[in-house]
This record gives sequence, structure tokens and C-alpha cells, in this order.
Amino acid sequence: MFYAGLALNGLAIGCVAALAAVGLLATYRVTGVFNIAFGAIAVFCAYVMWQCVRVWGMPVGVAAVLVLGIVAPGIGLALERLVYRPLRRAGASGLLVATLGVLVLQLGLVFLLWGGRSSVDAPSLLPAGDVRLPGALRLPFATIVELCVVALVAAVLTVVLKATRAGLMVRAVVDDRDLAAALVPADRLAAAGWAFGSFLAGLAGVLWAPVYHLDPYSLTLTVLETMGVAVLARLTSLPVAVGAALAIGVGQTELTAVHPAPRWQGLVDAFHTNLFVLVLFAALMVLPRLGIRDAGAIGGGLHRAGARRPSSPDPVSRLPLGALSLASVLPLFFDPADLRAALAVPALAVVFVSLVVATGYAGQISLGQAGYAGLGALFMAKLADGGVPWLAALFLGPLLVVPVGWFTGAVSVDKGVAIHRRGLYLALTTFATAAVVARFVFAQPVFVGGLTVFRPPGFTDDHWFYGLELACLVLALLLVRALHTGPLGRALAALRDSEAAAVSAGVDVRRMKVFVFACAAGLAGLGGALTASAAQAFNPTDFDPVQGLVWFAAVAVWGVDSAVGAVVGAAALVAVDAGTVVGVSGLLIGVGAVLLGRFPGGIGAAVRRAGHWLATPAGRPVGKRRLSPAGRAVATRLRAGRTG
Amino acid sequence: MTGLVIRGLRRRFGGLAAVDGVDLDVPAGAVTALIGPNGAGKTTLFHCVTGMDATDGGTVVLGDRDLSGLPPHLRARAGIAWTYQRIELFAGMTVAENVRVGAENRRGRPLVAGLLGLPDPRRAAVRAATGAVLDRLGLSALADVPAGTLPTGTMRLVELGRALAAAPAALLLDEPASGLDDHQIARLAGVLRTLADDGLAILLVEHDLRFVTAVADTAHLMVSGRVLLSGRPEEVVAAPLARELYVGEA
Repeated sequence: MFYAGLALNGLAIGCVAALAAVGLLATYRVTGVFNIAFGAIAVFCAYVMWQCVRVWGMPVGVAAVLVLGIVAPGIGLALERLVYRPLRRAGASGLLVATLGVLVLQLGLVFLLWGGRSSVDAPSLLPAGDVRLPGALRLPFATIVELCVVALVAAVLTVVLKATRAGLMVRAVVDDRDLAAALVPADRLAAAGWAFGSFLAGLAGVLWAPVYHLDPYSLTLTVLETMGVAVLARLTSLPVAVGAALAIGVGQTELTAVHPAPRWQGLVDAFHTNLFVLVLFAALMVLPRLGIRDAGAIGGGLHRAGARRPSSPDPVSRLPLGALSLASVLPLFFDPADLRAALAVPALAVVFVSLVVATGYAGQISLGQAGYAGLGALFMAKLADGGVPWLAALFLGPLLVVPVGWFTGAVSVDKGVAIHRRGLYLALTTFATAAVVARFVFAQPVFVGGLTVFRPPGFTDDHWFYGLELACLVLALLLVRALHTGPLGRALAALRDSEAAAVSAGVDVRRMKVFVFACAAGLAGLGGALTASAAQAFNPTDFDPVQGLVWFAAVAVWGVDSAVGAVVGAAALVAVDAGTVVGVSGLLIGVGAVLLGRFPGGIGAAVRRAGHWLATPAGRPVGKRRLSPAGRAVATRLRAGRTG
Repeated sequence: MTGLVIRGLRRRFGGLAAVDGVDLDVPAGAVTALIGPNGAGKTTLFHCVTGMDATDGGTVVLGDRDLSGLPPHLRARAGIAWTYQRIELFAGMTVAENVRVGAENRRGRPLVAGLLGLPDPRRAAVRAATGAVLDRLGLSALADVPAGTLPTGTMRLVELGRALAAAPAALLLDEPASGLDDHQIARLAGVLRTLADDGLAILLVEHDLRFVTAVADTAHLMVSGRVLLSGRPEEVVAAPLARELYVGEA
């Protein structure tokens, strides 16, 4: 049964999604970067618009000119100059982390400037009222304007890129900026592309804000979910993106008229409110390949070449490890309030360490750790609720998450397209998994309603529970050590450095990837179970998919291949959040992430470099005069190799 | 025969037959070269034999074992070792670790055993194999040097070492001489001759005809997905068809 009235409502939703998808694709076509921060830029511009009109009393038109003519393009120009131009030779992963950094930075700014408050009085650019259609149907003016904007942007972009000299130059810059620089003003074209992409983000934000609540997280997540439309369009076809967005919007509202047996109604409701998430997930599962520029190793830009040798423990790393061990027991001497705050550290550290395993050691980007963490908490709570001894539930719950990680890993490598489904694809798949879990599990009363999380006698005291958390963290670090040393560690490092070489050496790449995803999911699940137990509550917001993006950026900043860095990073994040106002941590992580292109390996690598520098006595010349006989032999052979 | 036997291998991309029913023998104890112009299908054939690319028909038999249909890592474990046209190294590892990865993945090991940190029973054998390969290729002095910092010629040797550490029966090399200078090419030729003399079946996919004539026992000329000419390297290289394809002489 098709309802025309509902379809018109759906058209309005579809317009919003189409605007986001067209903005994402347009940015991708003119910059070559899949800008995950698109939604965050949109949110920032919407808040600036709100500030101008509601706080400073500017007329809407003037504010719109200011936001869309200066602020949004200015953000794009700043991003191009400060973030993406230095990363022009980075692989897809380096760019991905930079866009995550921009996302986190923008969100941090929003929280810092506006406290992250929701607002229902966002000013509207569009006229109120509607057009009457036959059959007593009404089509809002806003929808008509949005449709026109979407169609105009799609048409103009298609024509300009395909049929004009400027479009040809832009495509040349996107394909190979260095090569194009010899023929066209590549930097200026790239800057123009970013200014245009940010303008579209700003436009989307200003148009959405009055329709939805002006809220940092939910609006950003809404945009991220519409990535499914871009994926359906294979990141290339603007008409397909527009058509798909409108169709999903209409489908979503039509589902509201479906009333199955009461027991299934909740499921149908979940579908109709989350159809875009499902499409994102399904599109990634079904479509074999994306037209993604995905050059370079998966961890490109995240690791420092030659930084780690799995079988050779770095003596310098023992120093921070020792200091860390001492520091970890300090909270036991804190006052009760501070100790309560510190309970979050080991739990978050275990989640961070799971990212080190997946991304740092095996080179598999995972943006879905928040979902695994939440599932670990949920399974633990359910098991404990069901009579399983609490301590057993604490470990059994995360174990039940392992198959979910196994599934994600299997999807990423199946059908013989492992080499193609890398980088951005993996990032989107894991993020989609977290989003599906958040919307279909964590947000469903049938799963989380009335859920109680408790600590058993003995662990109700924070000191004892903190001790248990530390034990779990040590267990996790031992597991991580096993994954970083010996034949298994070398096989994982081989997978990270070169999949092709690993296969030729007999490494079962598929099994390794699936295994590492499963391990990382289990670890994240343990961290989530500890998080919920520390709070003695299951808070879905703790496991929000956007939170997972923040975690990933934080781990990347501290050194994605450093377990010690992950633990320190977790402590720093909790400390900054507890000791400052909301938004500061996001700001710091964002700045760190966008600078990663200039400092590969992050803080962990910088500390290691500093440690090695300190280990070399100041002023001592490091040259052939100091070489041992064996060193001289090496130097001779190296020189012979270079000179032939 | 012992060695690698390829029969009726086919690979199509849409309407294009990149590999069109190729029969090829790569006998043990000899160096076999596959030459041909760009787009002849040499690298596609190479990938079909290693399992890195799917095939549309044909068989790949090593010794008495049919490897057709096996995934690439199992072909590697079955005794086919290969290196790529583009240098593919584990840049974050040392030279010794690069070679060691080749030695320790000859057979699968339960992942849980590694996770639990159980001692590897093959450890001594792996260490010995690694040391032997490093010695053979003259890489022992560079054992602890990060592979990503080496010059191109030495990187090629490390790749070769990783392949040899698996003690393969057949060694496939895709343009191993590319990027090397004359001295390094001569050194590589010497290494390959020694390996062949030790009984290894070697298949070279190569553009450098001087290198081919210097090192190969047999050469095959591939054009448009088919092997059109086979024989002694100097005869194949001197054939009018090859001269026409390579230098435009009829």
C-alpha cells in the first residue's frame, strides 16, 4: 500500500539526505577526500548561524551571507591549507584520520563554544507554508527549495566536471596533485574545491537545523548515516545518490503505515526510523567494490616505517612502562570522588588497546570499537542478570562479542576482494556495524529496558573494583604482547606492511584479519563491560558510534602501534574531561589528529625518538669512527649496495 | 616431469583474453624465461599461477600435486614462491625478520597457540633456515638492518631471501631485474644460476633480454595471451617476431 501523503513527508527527509550525499560526493569529486567531517562542519555552521540570529540579533539574510559566504568557505580554505595540503602524498588512511581529526576538532569547538546544548529555535532560511496538491496533499515550500538546491548542485557539478576546462583541471588535481601542479594551479584549485565542499556542508547545516534539533552528536550522526546513499552511488554518481536518498526517505515514511502483529511492531518501528543506517550497512555488505582512491598501505600515515620490530622489544619502551605501572596504582590513594572518576581509565584503556591490536599491529582500520564495547557491556549485564556469577559474566560477555568481530572481519575480506576492500571501505563497514548496533540494539527498549548493571559484594568498594580493572588491563596487555611478538606478531606486522608480500610468504591473510578483528572486538567488549560496571549503569551514550570515532582519533594521536601510548592516552582523555570543560579533550585530540600527517606515528613515536636521542650521549658524533667491527661491515655493505 | 606444469591456463577480462590457453613447463633445475611486449599477458599469467588472480580454466601442477583452485597462501605453502614486479617488503621489519616470515609460515600454526604464547616447535628449524638463506645471499651482515632503509638492489635480494626461506620447489620472479644496475643484475644472475643448479624450478617474467639470455635455459615468447615461440633464449630473442616486437625490426 502506497500513501501519497506519507511519500511527500518522506520526500522532505529524502531531500535532507540527498543534500548530505550530494555534498559528500561533490567534496569527494572536487577534493579526492571522502570528508567524514562533513556533518561536523555542517553542525558548526548551523551553530554559528544560530549565534548570529538568536544571540546577536542579526537578520537571517545577513547571517546566511556571513555563514555561507565567509565562515563555511573559510573553514574549507583553512582545512586545505593547514591540514590537507601537507597530506597530499598521504595514503587513504592518513587522509581518513585527518578527516576524523577535523570532525573531532569541530565537535570539540561546538561543545566548547555552545556547551553542546540542543536548540529547537534554529533560524530558518526557507519560507514557511506549503503548496496545495490534488487530493488535499500539501508539499512544504522548504522541500521544494531543498529539491531545487539538490538538483541544481548535482546538475551544475556534473556539467562543470564533465564539460568544462575548469572541471578537467579539477579532475587532474584530484587524480594526481603533484603531476597536475606542473600544468595547472593545483593548490588554488584544491583550495577552491575545499571552499566549495565546506560551503555545501554549511548550506546543509543551515537548512537542516530548523528541521531537526540543533544538536552536535545527533546531527553529525545523521549525516554519517547518509553515507549509505553515497556508497549506493559508488561515490561517483550524483543522480543515483539523489534518487537513492529520495527513495529511502519515502520508504522510511511509508514504513510508518506498516502495522504487523504487535510482537513485530517494535522491529518495524526500528526499521522505519533507521532505514539509512540499514542501507549503509547493506550497501557495504552487498556491493563488491567502491570507486575509492585507496592508495598506500592501510596504515599509511599512521605508522612510522621501521618504527617497530616485533621480536625485538625496545628497551626504551620499558621506561614508560615502568612509570606507567607506578602511576596506575596512584588512584588508589585518591579521594573517593577522584577515584570514582579514575575508574573510567583502565576500562577506556582496554578499549584503546583493542584499537592498537586491530589498527596498529595488523593495519586494519576499525571505527566500530564503540559498538563492540557496548555489546560487551550489554552481554555482561544480561548474563549477570540471568544468574551467571558476576565475575564469570565479566569475561563471558566480551567473549560473546568475539563472533561479531569475527563477522566484521570476514565481511571485509570475503569474496576474494581483500585487496580492494581496504582503508575507507573497512572504516565505513566497521562504523556501519557500530551504527547498526547502536540503533537496533542499544536504542531498543526490548534489549536495554530495565537493564541493571551492578557490582557484586566485594567490588562495590571502588578500591577493589579499581584493582580488578587493573588486573583486566594487565591481562589485556599480556594478550596484546602475544599479538606483537613471535611468529604471530611477525605475521600480523607482515599483514600490515604488505598484504601481497604476506600472502606470498604463506600467511593466511583472511584468517589473520578475521582473527585480529575477533580479538579486538573481545578486548573492546571487556573494556565496555568494565565501563558499565564502573558506572553501575548501561548508558547508550557511552557507546555512541561518534564516540568511537573520537576514540580512534585519540589512539592515532598517541601512536596507533603503541599499547603504552593507548593506556596513557586513555588516562589523559579521562583526566582532561574531568579537569576541564566539555570540548577541550575533543579540541586537543582533533588538533593532534590533523597534525598526524606532519608527525607520523603520533606521540608514541615522538617519545620513542626522544628516548633514543637521550640514550645517545650529547655531543657524541655518531659516525664511522664509533662503529664496531660488525658495524663497519654493515656500513661497507650498505655503501656497496648503494654504489653498485 | 618434476617442476611446475601449466596446462590450458585461461583468463579473460570481459571480451579480452589476457591469457588464452597457455601451456608451459617450468622444469626443476632450470631457469625458464617468459618474455613478451607490454600487454602480452605475462604478469596476468604469473598471477594466475600464484593464485593472486582467478583463472577461467586450466591447471597448475607442482610435482605431482594439482594446485588449481587453491588460494595463494596455500600455493605458497605447497612449494611455489614468488616475488612481485614492484618491491614488496615488510618495511617495518629487519632483513632477518623479513626472511624469517617466509620460513615460519611454510606450515600453518593454530592462532590460539600464538595467542597463548606457547613455544613454537619449529623455532630452531626456522632460525637455521633463516641463517642459511641470509648466508647464501650475502645478507648476514645486514640481518638487523630495517628492510625499508635498504637500497633497491638489496631490497630485491631480501625479497628473494623471503621467498627462498620457504624452501620452495618452484620460484617465480616477476621482472626481478627492474631497477637494478648492471652489477646488481650480474649478481642476481649468478644467484639464480646457483639456485637452478641446486634443483629449483625457476620461472622469470622479464623484459631485460640480456639478462634473459645470460641466465635462462629456455625462453618462451608470449603475445596477446598466447605462447607463440619457445626455445633457447638466444634463438627466441633473435627470432624475427621477437625483434619486431621489441625493437621494431622485421
